[in-house]
Amino acid sequence: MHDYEHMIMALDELISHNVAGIICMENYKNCYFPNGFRKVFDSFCKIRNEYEANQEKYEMKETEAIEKIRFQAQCREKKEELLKSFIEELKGINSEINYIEEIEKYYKTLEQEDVQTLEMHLSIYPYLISRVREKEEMVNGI
Amino acid sequence: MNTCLSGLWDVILEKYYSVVQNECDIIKENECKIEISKIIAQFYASDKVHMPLHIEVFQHELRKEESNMQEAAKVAGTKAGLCGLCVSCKGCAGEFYKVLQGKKEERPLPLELKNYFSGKSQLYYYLSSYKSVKSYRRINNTLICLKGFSSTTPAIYSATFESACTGGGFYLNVGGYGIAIDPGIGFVDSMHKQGIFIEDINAVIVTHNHLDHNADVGTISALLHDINRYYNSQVKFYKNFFHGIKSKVHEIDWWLDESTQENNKEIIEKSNLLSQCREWTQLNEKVYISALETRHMLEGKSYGIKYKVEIDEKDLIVGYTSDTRFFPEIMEFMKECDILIFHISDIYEKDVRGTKQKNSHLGYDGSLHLLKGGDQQFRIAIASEFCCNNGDYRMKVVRKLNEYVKEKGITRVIPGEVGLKIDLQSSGIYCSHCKRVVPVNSVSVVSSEEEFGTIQYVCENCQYSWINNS
Repeated sequence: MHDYEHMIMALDELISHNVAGIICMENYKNCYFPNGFRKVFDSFCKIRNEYEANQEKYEMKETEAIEKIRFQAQCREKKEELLKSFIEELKGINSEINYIEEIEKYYKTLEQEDVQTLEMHLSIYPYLISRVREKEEMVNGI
Repeated sequence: MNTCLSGLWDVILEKYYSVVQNECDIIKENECKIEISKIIAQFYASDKVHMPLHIEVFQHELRKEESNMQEAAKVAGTKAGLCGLCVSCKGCAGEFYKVLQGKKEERPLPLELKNYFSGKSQLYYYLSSYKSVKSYRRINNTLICLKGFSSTTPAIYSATFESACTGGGFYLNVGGYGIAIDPGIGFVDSMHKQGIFIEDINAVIVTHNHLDHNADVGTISALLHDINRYYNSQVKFYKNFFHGIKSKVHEIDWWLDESTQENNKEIIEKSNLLSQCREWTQLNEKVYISALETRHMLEGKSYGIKYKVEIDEKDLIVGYTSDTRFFPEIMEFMKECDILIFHISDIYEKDVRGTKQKNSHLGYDGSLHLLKGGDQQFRIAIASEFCCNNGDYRMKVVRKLNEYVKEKGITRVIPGEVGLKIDLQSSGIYCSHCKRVVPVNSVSVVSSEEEFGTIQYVCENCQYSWINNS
């Protein structure tokens, strides 16, 4: 696994989700999260440092495949944690919505697509926010 | 399916299928068990990823001497729902254990094809390039020449000699409204190289049914179809979840001659005929066209076109003779043009001597008549569609034409080449090197050392730096 492949995987599997989550929440709350993006860059740096420390393993033929899927799983686990914390935050705003159900509905439709793009995966965050907004509009009679 | 463990399942199944495909016997299955167990151990060697209960159970069962793969999968499968890694469980573990138990059939993904699915689609890159190129290119209010030679020259030359020269057409952009003019052989290729994409084309105009003028009509139509299909598939998905998502369809207006319309009726459902444009016809708020039937083909019609475009609230007229022999009406038709594009094609001795005019193209004599004959005062005249059967005569012919038309008040005759870019606001030319717009009279037209090589348009500054460097 080359340096750039590792970087792209980190960006696609985790960092992009992190950024999308922050942008959506900042947009909804109409405020700026201090250090929000600094944390994203910190986590990216950590991932990069870890790669540099284990570069040999990533590049060795015998271990490359395993290292690759392990790194992917590692990113995805973190991404799921991120989604969990995003849901927790949304629950603090509106606890009436069943967010897990909404996510399941979203992924079920996504699963039907022949080609899934990164943008489609990232759109889960604005979708969840849109559910919150919709509920608010219903309450306010808009 | 993008789950936390989908990568691990793929690697294990790859190993499993390699055994199944080789008609597994007990010894081989034991080997497979050991290999899979090894993969799992390696995967969880560090504490970077969390091992769920079902994998712990699966690993434990695999290590038992008396157990087989199916039994191990059956036991582990009962715990599959307790994974807890993904926020919304997609049941990937359950599916995986079902495959190992033989309850679900799934064709293994051939190793050779694996990378195909991990990459992004060509259209994704196409659109990404479009987005990035848009930020730095300058095509607004420009006339871009994408034509090198006439139909046969590129084909014959590339077959006979080493370097290939290109055909093509022209591209006119007025306030963001883009017109592809006579998209002949290699037009789309040249267009992309100049940073122009399918979404920059709002209208296509074809003057007659010859390959060097309409070969890429099909390519443009196919590209348009693909791009709209890509947008629609995206929009269809987003419409399920977001309100107010509008379908994005890029549309192109087709203005064709009768034969091209007839030949392409299966791929272009709706098109207009140039014969309807004898008077000024509006294409968009800033662009009007007018067409004159010309004399080029024995069968079928061909047209010369004038484009009246509004730049900074002033009208500018660009004339395009396309392929035609000289006849007085074409001179009358083109006389009000500020910029003229005329097609020379090949020259003959009698034609240069002025004793016999060419039948289907302007040639040397027809070009001179057109440039010199009436009371027209073009600011720039672009000589194009050279057909150099006996060698590359472009520079020599243009030099001679310039000598003849000096007194006519035409600023300049320049040879057309792929990449020649004219700024419609100032009627200046973009320098091929520094990309700045400079007055047409201060540009040097520089031919390549090689015959049929690329012509460049160089400003004074770049010329000096060339001289100093050499």
